[in-house]
Amino acid sequence: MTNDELLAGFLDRSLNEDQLIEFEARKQAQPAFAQEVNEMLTVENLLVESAPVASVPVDYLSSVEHAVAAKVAAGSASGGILSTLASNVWTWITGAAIIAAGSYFVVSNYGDGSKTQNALPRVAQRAAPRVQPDLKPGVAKDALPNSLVNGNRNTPQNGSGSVPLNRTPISMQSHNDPSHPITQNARDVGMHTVNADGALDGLLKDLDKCRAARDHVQCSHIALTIGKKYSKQNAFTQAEQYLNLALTEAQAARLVEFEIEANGELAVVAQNDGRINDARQLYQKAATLGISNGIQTDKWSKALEALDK
Amino acid sequence: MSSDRGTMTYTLLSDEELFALVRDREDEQAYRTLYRRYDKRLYSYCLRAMGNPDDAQDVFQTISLTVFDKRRSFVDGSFAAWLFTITRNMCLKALRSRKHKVEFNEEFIAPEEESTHSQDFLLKRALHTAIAELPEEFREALELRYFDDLSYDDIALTLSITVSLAKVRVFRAKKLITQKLSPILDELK
Repeated sequence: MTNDELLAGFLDRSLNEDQLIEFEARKQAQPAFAQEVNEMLTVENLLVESAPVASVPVDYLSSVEHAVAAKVAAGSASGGILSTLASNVWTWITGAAIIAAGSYFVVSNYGDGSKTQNALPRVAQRAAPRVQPDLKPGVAKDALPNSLVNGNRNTPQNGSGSVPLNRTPISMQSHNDPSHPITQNARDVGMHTVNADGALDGLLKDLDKCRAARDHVQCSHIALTIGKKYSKQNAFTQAEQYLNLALTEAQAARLVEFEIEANGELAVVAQNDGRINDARQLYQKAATLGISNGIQTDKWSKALEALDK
Repeated sequence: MSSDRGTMTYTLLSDEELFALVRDREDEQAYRTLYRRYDKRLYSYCLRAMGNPDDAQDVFQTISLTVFDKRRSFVDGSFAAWLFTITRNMCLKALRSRKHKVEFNEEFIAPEEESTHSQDFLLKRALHTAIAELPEEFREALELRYFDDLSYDDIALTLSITVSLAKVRVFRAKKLITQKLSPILDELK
């Protein structure tokens, strides 16, 4: 064995008895090797003691834990039923038969369609999210995707169908379409290079996917990330658009942590945009939500205090 | 889901057993136990890789959600290796898209050490500089071993290399560091 092999084995504590004897013998015979061993041991100790100490944002880690745990819990609630149904082919066949029989019943009993129409609003009502997005001052209602304004991504508006968030970053989209309502706002804030961050494209694609999958947790997270990015770029309109989406999705998923975060970030945007009263209200909302749910919101309370000062 | 497990002591379960509960039964308590085992290590990894807390938090959150979304893809083997493989890939992806340059960030040094210019502090500072100057593949293996506390088997799986190559990389890294620190160690004798 070479000196390096012996030394590596010694440091890994993988030398057998014979090899250990050989190792000790070489240390005695070769002072340079002995010195190298000592230095390596010092470095080894230093490495063990010197793991970089990062300041860990405990509150943040805790909020992520709650968010994903909510998803796990939600998965257990829906996944159990779905997997049971999906695993049984006969369930599907029986279901199809029930639907066929039900359709026959409806057609034969309510041939004029009047009662069928009366039943539709109930279905639509159930499908609609519980909470409408809270439109903030400064965000033109028509600047938001229809799905956000209506709170129901699948409900066609004025016969135009649902309007998903475009994969093209809004900044680019609005440059191409001067009539787009966002264009005016974008120009107002001097946005010319908002898409410098290539990660945005990926996030927008991911947002499309999770919206299609109706994954409120993921959507809220991604929309929050996108909103924060726009906020950092002082693209206030876009920031508010995505933060409002994050808020809606968080409310749909009952993720108070994300709801607080979205309100807080909306407050930051309002503050940076010079709308101090809006900012104050939103900070207050974030802080109140935190207090009523036992979640620490020092960040937003302090921001509110600073604003008042 | 956790209520039916009664008094089960989750903390006694292995990572793989806990994750099986998360994957197969969507057991929230199992998830929380596992999360708390890894959250700080994972966040520290993200912070080292991304270089600033904002980006680290973004990636950390994405990883946390992805791990649950991809739970079906974990069948057997080491959970730690699987987790760090996802983490590493996510960080690399984020770095590529942001064209971010990885540098050793002094933010990682504990605050109390920053104000103490003791020999020990100088030595640790020299150590971190030496680590930052290592070739990428050596540095990565060394950090996984000493900062993320992974076994050689898990390092090998995370980096898609053999166990012996993982050992060689860690050893070479330590040897290069020793060579760089040798003059300082001599002075301190």
